[in-house]
Amino acid sequence: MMNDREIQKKVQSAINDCTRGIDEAPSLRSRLLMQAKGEAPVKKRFTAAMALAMTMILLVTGAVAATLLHTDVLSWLFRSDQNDLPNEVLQLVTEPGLTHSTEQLKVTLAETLFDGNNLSVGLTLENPTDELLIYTVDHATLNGVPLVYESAMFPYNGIGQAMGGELEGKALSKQTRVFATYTGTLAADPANEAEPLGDLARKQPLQAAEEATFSICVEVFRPRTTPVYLAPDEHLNGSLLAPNTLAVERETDLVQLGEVVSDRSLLEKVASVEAVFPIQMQAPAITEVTAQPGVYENALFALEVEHFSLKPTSGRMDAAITIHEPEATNKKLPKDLTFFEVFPENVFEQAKATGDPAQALRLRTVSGGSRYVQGSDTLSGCRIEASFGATSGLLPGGVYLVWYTDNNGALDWDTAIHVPLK
Amino acid sequence: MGKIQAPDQTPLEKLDEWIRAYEKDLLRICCLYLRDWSLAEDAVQETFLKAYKQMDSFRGESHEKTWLTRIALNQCRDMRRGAWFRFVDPRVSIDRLPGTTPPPSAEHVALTTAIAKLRPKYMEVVLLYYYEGYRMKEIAQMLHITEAAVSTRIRKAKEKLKDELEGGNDHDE
Repeated sequence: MMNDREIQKKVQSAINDCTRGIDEAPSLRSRLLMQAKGEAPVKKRFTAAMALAMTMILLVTGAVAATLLHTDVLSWLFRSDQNDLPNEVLQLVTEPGLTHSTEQLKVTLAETLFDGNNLSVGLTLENPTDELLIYTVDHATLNGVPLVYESAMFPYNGIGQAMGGELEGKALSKQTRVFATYTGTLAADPANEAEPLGDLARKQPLQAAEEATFSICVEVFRPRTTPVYLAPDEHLNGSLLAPNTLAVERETDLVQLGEVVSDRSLLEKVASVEAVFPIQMQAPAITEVTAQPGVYENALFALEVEHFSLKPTSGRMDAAITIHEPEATNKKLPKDLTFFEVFPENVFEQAKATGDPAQALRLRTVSGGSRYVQGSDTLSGCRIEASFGATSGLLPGGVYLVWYTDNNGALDWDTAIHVPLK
Repeated sequence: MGKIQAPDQTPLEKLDEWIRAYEKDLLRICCLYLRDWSLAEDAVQETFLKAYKQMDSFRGESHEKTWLTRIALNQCRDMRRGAWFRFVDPRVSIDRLPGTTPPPSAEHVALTTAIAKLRPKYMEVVLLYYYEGYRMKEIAQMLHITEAAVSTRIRKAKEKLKDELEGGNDHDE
């Protein structure tokens, strides 16, 4: 075996060779310095600041139908910038609210979408007990064949889910959502690579009204160690936790399992639940929804929207928002705007009531773009372009934009702007 | 180690100095950790902004790059949350990173891909020990684990990378 010096040389050569393009990529410097301008180093946490919600009503073109979206915020493998999509995007839909229940778990398959290459699903996991249980989504199958996943996300809820029961007298979240994207089916021989779903679909096209079966396995765990709440000024984001700690963030019930994720030494397995759902192909109806360009105002400022559209591409919604400070008004964008979340209209009120950002459309940065506001002290002329990974759910009749204004992770739900669309 | 700012240096100037010195190195680590260029940019951006805000709390127990790297790893860990699935598409590819001409060698791609496919706790020690050259004691402090745990993880990571490390010659350019 090579010695450490030899290994180091080899690792450095390999990584440097594979990442040479980083040296040539544009620097973040100007963006970072503009972000930091006007912000003095602080010794205390930011308190909750204002945020601004902007509503844009999307007028749906074509027949109203259940277009299903998915989230691929953590694209482990590919960006899904696929140029070879079939012309027709087929949907796999299920009965709304179809559930599978056991003593320890209720699973609801909310939506599925097959875009010709990827299968995306949205699930809800619910703890029907009063006990603190942790759920992880394990394998999935389509018509009995194991699926290979591309990405998966428990929005804002960490690696594992601690749901139900209570901690220090405070009830923990009993429900969470899961979004997953599958790219292929496992080959019978583990030595072979996964077969892409797109190839399978082209060899054996699924027709409209054809039925299929989707199953998902969820494992249920009980923690051996009682979780502890983090101190009020301590957050999981950026904090280092001891490896054998089950810690919960007070504001979000976010559970950081740390080393438990891989070792599972702090968890006792309670059950393994296989939930099976019949699904059926349906033809899509909606290809794009757009917002009407114009000026939108709330009580705090005015925004000018140049372009905003959502369309399913690679099973993902892509959108571009260009926001300018309008010259015609006396209002100025608040100087501490950072970045924003986009909420489907049908979940906004619930999200606002619970303070839960989990149901927002997930933003992804396109090449050369950023979801961060870049601008001067007054943010005059700030422009934002972003690509959105969509959340699971029915295509909304509108969206709300809710802003962070202090990089603190706290949204302010107080203000909304309504924008008519066409 | 004393103050991190020169007497006449403003915090913004210090941030600028950090960006110029460490941006690309942090991007490399985050790219491998997250396997996504745009997420890596987000992670590095968050890293520098957090460090800028916490500049006063940095007491200089370690080199500033060590401190920044630690923040970056935490940021990457947070951004990877939510992926607790057992079945993973084996077609891991790192060719979505910013392209290069000429393209990297096949052996380098194989080793880098293998590193990127490691579980995070092994990838971290590989990046910190072999790529960045930190000592075990420093890594233990950065990751809040014992030196023995660092040593164990390095050993296991080497075992997992055995084929890629021993296969082919190193083509230095």
